[in-house]
Amino acid sequence: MRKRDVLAASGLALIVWQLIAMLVNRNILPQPVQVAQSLAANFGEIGGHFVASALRVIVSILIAVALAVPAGLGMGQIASLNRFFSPFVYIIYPIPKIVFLPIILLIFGTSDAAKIITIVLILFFQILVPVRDDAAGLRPELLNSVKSLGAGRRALFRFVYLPASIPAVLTSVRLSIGTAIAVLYITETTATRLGLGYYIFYTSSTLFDYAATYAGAVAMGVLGLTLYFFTDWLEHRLCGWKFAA
Amino acid sequence: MIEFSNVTFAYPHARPVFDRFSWSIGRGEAWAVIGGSGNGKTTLLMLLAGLRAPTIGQVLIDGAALARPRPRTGLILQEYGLLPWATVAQNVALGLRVRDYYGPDGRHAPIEHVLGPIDQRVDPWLKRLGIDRVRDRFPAQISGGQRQRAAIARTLVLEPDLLLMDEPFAALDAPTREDLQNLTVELQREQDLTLVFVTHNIEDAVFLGRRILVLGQPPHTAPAVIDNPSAGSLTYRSQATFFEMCARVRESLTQYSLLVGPHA
Repeated sequence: MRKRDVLAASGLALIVWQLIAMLVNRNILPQPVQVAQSLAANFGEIGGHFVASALRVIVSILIAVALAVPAGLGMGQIASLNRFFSPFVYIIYPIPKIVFLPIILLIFGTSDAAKIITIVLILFFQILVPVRDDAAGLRPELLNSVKSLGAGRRALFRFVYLPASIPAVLTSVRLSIGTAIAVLYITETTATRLGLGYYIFYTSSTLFDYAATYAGAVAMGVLGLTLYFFTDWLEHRLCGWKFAA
Repeated sequence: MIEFSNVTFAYPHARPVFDRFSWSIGRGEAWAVIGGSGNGKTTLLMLLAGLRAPTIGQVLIDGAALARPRPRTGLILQEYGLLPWATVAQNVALGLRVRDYYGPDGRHAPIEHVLGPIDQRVDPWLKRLGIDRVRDRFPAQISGGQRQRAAIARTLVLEPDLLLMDEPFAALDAPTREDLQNLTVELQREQDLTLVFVTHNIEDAVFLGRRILVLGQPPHTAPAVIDNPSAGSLTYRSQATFFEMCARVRESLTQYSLLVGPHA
């Protein structure tokens, strides 16, 4: 995505927002200027919530990648492992894991752990499946020719399976960022006083300060967009070969 | 150097491809293996490479039974052998990096393997094979001939004594193909390689194989060999004996009641 196009789209969205806000003319839809003022006035407070939310979602993504990539590579490489675990993945995958949130809260209490575990649970499967399928789909010609260079299982993992999985990991992370932040919001509306989810929920349902609510939402959008851009940048850096041809 | 001793090989739930098959290859010999699809050419090469094991019998190299890929055997396949995410130079360096990764353990790398600067060993081969200009490109950005040159460089940088090639030129156009045939002949002589070149193409086989193993319908019980002493000269392609030999090989392929493809 070109920077210029992204900026133009953002500008256009702001104009449309401004026009609709002027038309509707009610406090539940404040104008961008009012939101910007609120954002500036509460910058320190929102910044604190932003950092808390960002840490939770980044740690969750890192943990999910660290768990799902080896599991996916293992299942993709070792047929017996795949035969055993695939049916479990198949039945668990479509369950909306967010419904376990109350149970996770019961077990882990109001800590960050409960929120992180919920997000990890969802991301884990979204990363596992494409990594597994990519590993299983590697051409035997490629594997044989690397084996013929002396590679055993460890070197195949290091020089073939691991680099081959990077595009799948980054794609699934990029696609999961939206979900991760949606789940983050839900987890932060309960049992915490820190995080953008809490801020958005609290300013709208208790304070009725809608400009602040929108400021929180904008901050959450910025968080998502930043993570998205970062993943995009990583993909271009690490998977240059996909864009070169 | 290589000894097939009463080798029987069958895929699960199938008739054997080789049945008590004995065959031997001397050091420095250039062999071509020719036959139609499904006649066991690639199976033979996988057995030679140690990527498949005989059901019964043994494949011996220098007297030792082959149980796994051997560090000094080089294998070059038709396509897809290069890592798509690595540049030409990185692909050529791959075998050296694998060896450095394990160290000289005699299993994955020869005992005499020396750890050392990889570039110094890769660069001469990139130059020798004329691909130093594309060293920083990815496989998808170069031609089929250049990809095959990169695959050859990657194998030869490991200083193999046995080179196995599986239809390496099948996907190439005629001039590139002849060019790489010439290169293979030169390198085989230059490096004193034992060469086993698997193909379904008669010209490939006659140009490269001083001895030609004809694989008819499996199961194979004894090798059918045609001697082709003139192979290995770059001018052979335009000599009358070349065409006579092609006719002879074609005849023996028909004799084994083979269906051969349009290239043959």
